[in-house]
Amino acid sequence: MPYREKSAWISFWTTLVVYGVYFTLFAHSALAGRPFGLHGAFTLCIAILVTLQIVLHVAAAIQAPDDARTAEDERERLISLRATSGAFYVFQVAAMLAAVTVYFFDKVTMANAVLAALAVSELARHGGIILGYRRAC
Amino acid sequence: MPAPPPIRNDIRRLRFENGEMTQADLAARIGMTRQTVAAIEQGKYSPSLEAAFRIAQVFGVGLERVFQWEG
Repeated sequence: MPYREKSAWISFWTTLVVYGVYFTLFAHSALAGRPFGLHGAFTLCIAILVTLQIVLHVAAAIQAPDDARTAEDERERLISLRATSGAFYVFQVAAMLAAVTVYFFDKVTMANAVLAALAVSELARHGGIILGYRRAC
Repeated sequence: MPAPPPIRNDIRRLRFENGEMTQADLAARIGMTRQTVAAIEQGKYSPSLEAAFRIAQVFGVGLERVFQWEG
């Protein structure tokens, strides 16, 4: 598997797992009626996500140093561009749904809905990149 | 899944005729990844005009010897 496809898998799974845990904790707190401190948990979530991604990307680069050093070529740029473009539409829909929460929930829930929109669109982007590599373009 | 472009290529044969040049060798000479050369060879990806000229230049032939339009 080429380094950049591996990189997309790393980003996809770390985003899915870390945000999955974060939003599960948030949902549990919300259902139990407990306040959920946004910045503490979210800062920790971002720190874990960044650390995991750095460690796993370094490990992947050590396994294929030449591949990791090579600049993106035109096909890889096209794959990335298509995935970003597709993820933009996912973000638009998710952001609209997040905006609707203002009528039903408090500020913290709305902020988390916006974060969820960002997480979902990131997943769509990484997923699009993986799909592009699987299909060869 | 989009239909493959109606462009045939003879890269595999040209590599064979040029001392069994590997996909990795060709990729290094045109500044692309081996996976991209494989995708071009299999007709799954149509390269840019610049990349097509680079490939033809490596083999020392004209563009129409490497790529043929079948549309």
